Amino acid sequence: MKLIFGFILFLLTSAVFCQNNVNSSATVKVKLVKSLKIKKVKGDLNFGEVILNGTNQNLLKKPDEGIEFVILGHPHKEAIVTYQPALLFLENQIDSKSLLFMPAVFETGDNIDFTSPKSVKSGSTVALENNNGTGKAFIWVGGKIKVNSTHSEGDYKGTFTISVAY
Amino acid sequence: MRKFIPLLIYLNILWMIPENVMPQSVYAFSLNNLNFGDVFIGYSAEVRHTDENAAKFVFLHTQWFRKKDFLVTLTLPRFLRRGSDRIPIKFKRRHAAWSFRDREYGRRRFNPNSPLYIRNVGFFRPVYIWLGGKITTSSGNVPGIHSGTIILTVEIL
Repeated sequence: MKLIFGFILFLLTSAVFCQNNVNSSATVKVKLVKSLKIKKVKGDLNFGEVILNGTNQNLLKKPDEGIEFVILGHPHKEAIVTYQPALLFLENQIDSKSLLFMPAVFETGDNIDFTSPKSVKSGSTVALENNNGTGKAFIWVGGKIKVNSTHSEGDYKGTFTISVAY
Repeated sequence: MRKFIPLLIYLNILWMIPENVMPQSVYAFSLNNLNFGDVFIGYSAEVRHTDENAAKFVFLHTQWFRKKDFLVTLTLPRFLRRGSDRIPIKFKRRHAAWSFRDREYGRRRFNPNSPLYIRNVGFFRPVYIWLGGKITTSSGNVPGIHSGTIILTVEIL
């Protein structure tokens, strides 16, 4: 009888300890990323004066003699580099003939000098190496222009565009 | 009539067991964290309650054959932190919703900064809560992961 009484008492009193509230937690998270920038460091893509001698010529500019860009962004992220050949048109004259600039693009990681360059094809990615908390990659642009014997004399000019995106 | 007394006692004990012997009668779980993903420094980002990156909770009570009223309170961070760097975070009515069903249709929005009363919830009936938010970063923020904690408190009234 005492056992039954004790059991019933336990059932009645244990309600006091019954848990009527509960907690649950969730994490809020965001990863802040540095936006991408590309800046010209030095150089140009000026091929200078070319003497037309009535034959086809290939004008070449090595990447380390062309333009050096730096891509700035988030450390250890990868940036997609895209570019296209550029057409150069004869200035101040109506002439249907144009020159085609075929770019050659290389990267040297976070090295500002042209050492151990790697070729960068359009649409490929470049790793932004950590340099004091900033992701950096140096890009070098050279290229070639094919001049035919039929091209007119004059100044040819065009725009070469290189784009970067995460 | 006397012969039914043991049966009544037995049923009464069965009734009492779940809420007395089992010390916990309300359960809450976090099903998803609130994730803003990658955000560019200087930009703002918003997650709605319908977004798959919104925080998601579920809770239920186990008091047999009873309908209960709940008081739901959210303890919300004011900032997401990374060391001493911090990003303000805001929670508005459009960011929070609850429903008895795990679906977008029929959700009821509520102000996450105030307590929420949910009445007449049957036993083992899940209640879902979704929570988004909005952050605004500034150019002075440092890159990397910033985080905070949302605490859901569910109380049976």
